[in-house]
Amino acid sequence: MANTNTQQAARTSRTGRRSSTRPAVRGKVLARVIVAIQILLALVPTVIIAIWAFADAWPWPDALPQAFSMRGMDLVLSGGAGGGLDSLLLSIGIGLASAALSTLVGAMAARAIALHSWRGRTAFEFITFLPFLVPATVFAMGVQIVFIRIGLAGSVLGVILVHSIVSLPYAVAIMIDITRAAGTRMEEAARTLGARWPVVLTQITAPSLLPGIISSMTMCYIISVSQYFLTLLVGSGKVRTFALVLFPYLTGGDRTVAGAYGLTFLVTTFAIFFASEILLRRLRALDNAELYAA
Amino acid sequence: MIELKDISVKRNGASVLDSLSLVVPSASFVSVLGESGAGKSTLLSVISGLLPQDSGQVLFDGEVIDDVPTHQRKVAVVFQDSRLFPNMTVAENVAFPLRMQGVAKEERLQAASKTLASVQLEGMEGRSPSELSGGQRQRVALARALAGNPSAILLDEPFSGLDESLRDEMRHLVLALHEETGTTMLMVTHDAREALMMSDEMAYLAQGRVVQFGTPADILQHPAAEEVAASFGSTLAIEGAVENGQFTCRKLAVPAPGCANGPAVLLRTHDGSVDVHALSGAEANLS
Repeated sequence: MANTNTQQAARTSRTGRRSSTRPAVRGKVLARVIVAIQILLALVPTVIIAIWAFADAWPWPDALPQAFSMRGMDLVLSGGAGGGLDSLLLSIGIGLASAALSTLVGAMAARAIALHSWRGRTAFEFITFLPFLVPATVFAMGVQIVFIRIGLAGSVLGVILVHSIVSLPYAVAIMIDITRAAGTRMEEAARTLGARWPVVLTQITAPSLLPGIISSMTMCYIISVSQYFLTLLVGSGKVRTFALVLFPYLTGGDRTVAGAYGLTFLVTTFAIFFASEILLRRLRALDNAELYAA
Repeated sequence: MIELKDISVKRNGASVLDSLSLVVPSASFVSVLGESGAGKSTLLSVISGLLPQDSGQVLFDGEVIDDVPTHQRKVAVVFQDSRLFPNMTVAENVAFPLRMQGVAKEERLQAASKTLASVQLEGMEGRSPSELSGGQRQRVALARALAGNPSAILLDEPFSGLDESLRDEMRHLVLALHEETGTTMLMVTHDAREALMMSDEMAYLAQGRVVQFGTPADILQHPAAEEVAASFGSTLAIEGAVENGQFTCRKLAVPAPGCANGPAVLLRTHDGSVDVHALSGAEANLS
């Protein structure tokens, strides 16, 4: 009797589980398929770019190139006037500088918008998003005239500034959310425990905003390194960033060189973010070690 | 000693604190009881300097400190939501006020361990705040407030996020630490039992004003206003003990003449009468 009861209980629980897990399993499969499609969409073009970077001749409809060569990579990684290395380093420098600048300004604007109430706050918040609404060409023309007048046209500083302006709305949008989430609770606690503002800023506020700072810098860096038209106009063609050098090869049809440039672009971007991630982890580990080294 | 003189705070045109005056004697434990919205937390923010008052003065030991910034006031706050720094370990959190005072690393970590032991959290030094339970987090917050040796500790509903069983344990711990360190403590709460049991003196706050100030026994037996009486609920029962004609529970001491020594219950009924019933059967009528 007791035995049949337990068997029955086991059966119901088994069927119960089956009926409840079925939609979950289906959802999981669906999720995996979607993720697989996403990975394919990103991976297939990347692989094609990577193959083109080393292809010498790849006529249609061959599945693979007939011959390989290092011609593209040699050109991209060689220094001097015709090479890509100088422009690559310039792009990384401009990208990091403008990412740092717009994230700093964005963080301050976000703080004013998210944590303080003052007259004109809503208008100010709207103004920070205006660059989203103004077409890039219109903006570029106007900025070029202003920069020519104040002597910033054709300079690296001018390009850094204009990239920062373009990426600023993204920085503000990212920083507003995280600043609002972090609030002032921890800062208040630190102040009551004797922390003056520089300590609060570096020990409490900055660490709590760190994920946002990283996302914002990533976003702004990518926006900067992929600017073509603005860089060309404001840099007067004299500030030759990677995107500027890459563009003629894309339109000119030398796919080997274009592929090599594209591949280098991707690899350096990834490398910079792996490096910053590792650096951040190191810094955190150091911080703990400093306190526990007896 | 903390003194508040005619403190007024307005927010969006509405009065939050309305010329409030209050004295917290040195080394005492004072509670501010009131419903939410009565201005209790605002009161603590004014004392800690996080929120400047619109008018009135705050005095520490007779000196006006209105222009002293928060970080120099030496009043630590224990918040309802702990507010432990997530990027620091438990020991780093507790050592934080000492670090702000420029205490050397080794010394401050030793002190942190000692303070952690006093809140029964030995061996938790290396943990991250996210690994702790709510009760443990609040103990760390308490240890962190104590570690800097502040002249006063402000407690903002410190137990309201905890289970009832934990709450009583924490009340006991806070009182033991108060006695041990002699630090002035000002606690804000909406729990009348808590205020009655823990305080040397207590204030009832409503609409930004002190309605009544006195000893817990006084306020329990002679509430000055309807709303003070209402804060005790329809019936209030506090378990304690009677010794030589006096009922005590933690700090609450109410005379209970004729009541037998031993465990007893203090009962306040909806009609306002306060009786002590010895659990052995004898009874004392107080009103």
